[in-house]
Amino acid sequence: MLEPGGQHMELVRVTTDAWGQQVLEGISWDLLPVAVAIGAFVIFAHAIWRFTRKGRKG
Amino acid sequence: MANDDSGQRVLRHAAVDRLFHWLTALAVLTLLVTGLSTVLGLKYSWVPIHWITGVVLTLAVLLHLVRATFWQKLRCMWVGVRDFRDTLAQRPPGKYSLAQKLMHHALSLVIVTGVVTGLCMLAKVDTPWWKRNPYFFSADTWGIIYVLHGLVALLSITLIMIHVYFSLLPEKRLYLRAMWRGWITPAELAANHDPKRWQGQRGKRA
Repeated sequence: MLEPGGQHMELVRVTTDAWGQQVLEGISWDLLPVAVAIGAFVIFAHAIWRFTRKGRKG
Repeated sequence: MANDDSGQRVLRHAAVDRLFHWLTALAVLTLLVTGLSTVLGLKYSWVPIHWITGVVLTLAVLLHLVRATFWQKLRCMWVGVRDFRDTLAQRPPGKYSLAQKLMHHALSLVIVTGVVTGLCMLAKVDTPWWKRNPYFFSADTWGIIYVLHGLVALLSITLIMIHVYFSLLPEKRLYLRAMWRGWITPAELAANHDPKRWQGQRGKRA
C-alpha cells in the first residue's frame, strides 16, 4: 500500500524462517493509526451530518 | 437520567445480559491493552493476563450464544430488507434499530474470530493443562492465525470508537442507561420504537 509520502505501508509482517523461506508473522502494526483514523473519520463525519441536520430542522 | 413516566419502566436488557455486555467490554479492553502494549514498547509479563482474559471472554461468548439461542428471541436481531426500508422511511424499529443490529453483528464477527484464533494460539502457551507446542500448526497456518488475530485487534479499535461515540450521543443515552440499569420509559419506547414489534413480532407495516 502506498502512503501519501510515497513510502510503502505494509499490510502484513513477513519474516524468514530457519530454512530461509518467507513466512507470515502477523498483521502490520503500521495499520494501528489507520484503524484509529477510520474510527475518528466515521465519528467526525457523523458529527458534521448530525450538526447540519439539526441546523436544517431549526 | 430522569424517569418521566411516573416510575413505569419497560425492561430492555435483563441483568444477565447487562452483565454479559460489561464483562465482554472489560475483557475486550483488557485484551487490547495487554496485546497492544508490547507493540507500543511496554515490556512486562502480559501473556498470562491476555490468555486468561481470553478464556473468560470465550466462556462469556459461549454462555451468551446459549442464552440468545434458547432464551431470547433471535428474530429481534435478524437483519432483513424491512430494516433497510424502515430506516430509509424513518419508521421506528422493533427492539433494535438497523444500526444497533449491524454494530452487534460486526462486533460479534470480530470477537468470535478473535476467540477462535486466540484458542488456536493457546497451543503456543504453557497452561496448567498442557505444555506449549509451537508445531501444532504449520508455519503458514500460524501466519494466517496471527494475521487474523491482529486484524481483530485493529477492527476492535475502530468499532469500539464508533460504538462508544454513538452510546454517548444525547439522543441515544436512553440505550446507555438501559444497558446500565436495564430499562427505558414507556414514553421512550413510544417515541423511538414500534411497540408491536418490540418482542420480535413481525407487526403490521404502517
